[in-house]
Amino acid sequence: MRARSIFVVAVLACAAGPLQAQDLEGALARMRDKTGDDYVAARKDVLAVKDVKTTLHAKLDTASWTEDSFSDLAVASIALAHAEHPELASRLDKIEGITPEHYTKRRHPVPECGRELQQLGKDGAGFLLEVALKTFADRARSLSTQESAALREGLVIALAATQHPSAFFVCKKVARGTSEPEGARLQAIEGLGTIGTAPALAEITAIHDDATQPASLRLATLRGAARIPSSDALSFISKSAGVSDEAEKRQAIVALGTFGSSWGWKARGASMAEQGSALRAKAATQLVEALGAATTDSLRQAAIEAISVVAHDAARAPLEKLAKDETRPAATRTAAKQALDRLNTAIQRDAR
Amino acid sequence: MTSVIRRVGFSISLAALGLLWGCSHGGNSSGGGASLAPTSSATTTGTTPTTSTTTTAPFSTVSPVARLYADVNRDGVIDGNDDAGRDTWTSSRGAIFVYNNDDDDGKHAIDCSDSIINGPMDPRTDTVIVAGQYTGGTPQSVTLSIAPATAPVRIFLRDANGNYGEFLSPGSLSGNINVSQITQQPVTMLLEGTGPRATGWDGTITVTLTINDTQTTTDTLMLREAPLIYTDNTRPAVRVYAMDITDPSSSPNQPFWTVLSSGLLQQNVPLQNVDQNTYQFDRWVQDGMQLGYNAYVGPNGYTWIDDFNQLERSPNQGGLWDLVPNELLSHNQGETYAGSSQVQDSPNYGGNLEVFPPHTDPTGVVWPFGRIYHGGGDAGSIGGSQYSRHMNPEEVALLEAQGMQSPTIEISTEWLDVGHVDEISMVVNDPNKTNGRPWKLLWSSPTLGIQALTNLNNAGHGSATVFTGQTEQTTVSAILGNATLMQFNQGVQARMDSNKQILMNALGLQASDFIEVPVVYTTISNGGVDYGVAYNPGVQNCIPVNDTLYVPDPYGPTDPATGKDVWQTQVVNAVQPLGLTVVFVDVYTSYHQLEGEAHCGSNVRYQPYDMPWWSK
Repeated sequence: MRARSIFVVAVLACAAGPLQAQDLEGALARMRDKTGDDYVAARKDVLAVKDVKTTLHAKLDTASWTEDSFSDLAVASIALAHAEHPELASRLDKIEGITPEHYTKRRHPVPECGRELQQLGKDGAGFLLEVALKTFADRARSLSTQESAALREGLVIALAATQHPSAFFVCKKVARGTSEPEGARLQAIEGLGTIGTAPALAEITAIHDDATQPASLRLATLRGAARIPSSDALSFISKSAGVSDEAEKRQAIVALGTFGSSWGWKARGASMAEQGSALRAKAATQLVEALGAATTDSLRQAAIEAISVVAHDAARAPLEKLAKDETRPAATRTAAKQALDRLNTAIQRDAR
Repeated sequence: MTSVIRRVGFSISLAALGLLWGCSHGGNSSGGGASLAPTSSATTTGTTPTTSTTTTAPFSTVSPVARLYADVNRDGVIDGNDDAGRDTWTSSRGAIFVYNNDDDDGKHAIDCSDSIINGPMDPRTDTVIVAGQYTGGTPQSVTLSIAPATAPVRIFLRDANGNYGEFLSPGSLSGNINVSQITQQPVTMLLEGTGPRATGWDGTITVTLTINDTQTTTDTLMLREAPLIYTDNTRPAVRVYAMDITDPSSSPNQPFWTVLSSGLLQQNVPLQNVDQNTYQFDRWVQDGMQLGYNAYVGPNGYTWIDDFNQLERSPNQGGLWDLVPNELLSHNQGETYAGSSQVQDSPNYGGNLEVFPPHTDPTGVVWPFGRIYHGGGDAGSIGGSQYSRHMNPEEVALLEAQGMQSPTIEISTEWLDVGHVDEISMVVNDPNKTNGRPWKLLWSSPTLGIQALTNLNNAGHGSATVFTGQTEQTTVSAILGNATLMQFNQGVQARMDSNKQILMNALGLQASDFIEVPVVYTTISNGGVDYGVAYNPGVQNCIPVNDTLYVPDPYGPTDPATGKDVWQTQVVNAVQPLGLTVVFVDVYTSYHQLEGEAHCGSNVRYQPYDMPWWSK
């Protein structure tokens, strides 16, 4: 019955000739609202619109992405991806990382497709969005629980990496989605960090401060924030470095290191690296404080590594002071000496 | 282990004694049984005679009191020289037995798994014990006992008709020897180990003969089981195992196989093909087994059984599970299995079990058989997700119990998706002894990898392609501009530095013992955790065969100034001073894209250590 309907629509469309630009919104609305074969037919209608690429570009280039506009703009983005890069569609037809014949050959034979989906690049954003919003349920029916969870996880990783405007809304929804696999939720939170906008940090902060959220998700917010090169992100992480909960404190220490990573800042370009130096210095001194306050080997080791990751000279003097401070426990002084050695090595490396 | 017994004026093998004593050996009397072959045909693979100059000392196997005989001085001969100290065990004296884990009758099960003598070749891996003929009277009872009773040993006893049958099964405390038999002739027994050394048991047993006559007399032998010893990569290579994958739909490895087979041919090292169809294209030959040996004294001196330690792998990966029992287990090739109480994670695989060569540690302790290291840890991911991953505790317990190459060392690899030490390090020879030490550790360095890219970028070649022609193809500037990737790699470098410190402290290694090679890592997410995996083919994950390294082609960018791959150049510059030859092998699609490299897809049987373990 459904097939016959599609046939009829198709015949009518052909008989009427290509849809005109003014028909686009209606076709996009059908695409937004339909599922399954009806969705595919609606997408086909959209792609049949005359000058569809130009029209979609015009719509999207000036669009303001909000919660309200998200659904409309998302389908427009999907349609544009199909119009501009139809060759990429087939790469999502069979995702090797969730195909048992492929992933069981791996040395660690579990489903995983984040890397594979990232290889689609920015041009793949619309296709990723399509799977995330429109076709996931159909796909999941033929996948094991582990495979569908891996797909969900891979989608948010790859979509966030594209920095597409839709990514924020998808990551936010997945991060908050209690029926989503935990792995996908964790990666969605880190994805918000990859997106790195002020709203993304606000959402990260909101999840962290929501005591009803699982501890694992709240810790993931620190990993997400570590990717955002801003003073607000540093402030957010710093608060957790001072808490009493050891798991959160440890995660904050590692996140301070990641945030202050000299290589990370350098990757953002020379001017960002210069701007980042002051923030890195703050992170470095906070890490020395965290080392001084650390009461376990686990925390001390995390701080030593993080200090060497930041590789900032600002840590040197406080570390020297800490290493000589006889009022401190021997374990602290020893750790400070180790951190100093590691810091010097890291700084020398960076200077090469 | 068949020994030769020397009597006054002549020496003779156990097999010959069997004939003299009317022996027609049988695992059971009804089955026709096996017969012992002449000792010469039981010669094994050993090549290093150690005590061949022993002077024969006269002795008698007739005694008025309880008396046991064995090869106490480890010269392959039972004679008067074995008298002293037979009830103790030291590095210089004390009888030895071996875990009889090879398969001499081709039934694809280890010989000690049943209660029979497994063919004419089997007794060479059993230890001869002789209870002297008792001439002190007619005793009420004669008892042979073993301590500890839980020791995994079995004793076969040759009856008056010359047939061998199980006398004491594993776990049996004691058994009675027929009085009429022992009063008429010496009683010959064969002792086999039925399990390896285990936690709480260092391999030592005592065998006590008690004769209850008008007076009770006893005699005790102390014996010790050979440990399983695993070889390091610097030993001479005996054989290489890998899978020749030709099926186009199974990520074939012809570029790798062709170069490897050709190179090994030139090196005169056999390459054994692990059949792709039989083993279901399970290419991770490194992971299913760890190769070593258990050594004993044969008639010709120091010898051994090659040991294939079968390692538990995950439920998804089973193709190679049959390789050891179905193909490798055979005469002189044994199988060990530590057992498992849990679903396996990849840290239990063979790629996560490597051996440091013999050395002296900073405290002055000599490690004549080196020291085992493996990966794992509690620190969790580079990004801070905290969790623990370790090698299977049963496997670690087995390694520790051998007492030769342990305590084992654990370094942090839990941050890697697979989690193996061969993803970050590899022991190699240093024939030039560049800093005095004849071996070095190849050591993954994200710093080096990124430094090479930075140099290219600074020279205006940021658009140079990396991983050219592969699905991951990208550019120098794209890699360097990926802040998340760079953050991750700096975190990896910090963790690698922590690992380096662990090894410096434990082994006394210096900075110059670490040969850094360029490896950049990327992330792979499982369950929301960002694990690490080599981004470029991990060049440290090579196959060391004597002084040649088969190194994964890193697929780095080409430096227009030299026309050479910058990562290859770094590898060659790092390794050549050692006097090693580098052969690059293309493993990109066949192994690297599947989370492994050259070492992961191969295994090498190396020659056992020259020094007998009992000398330690």
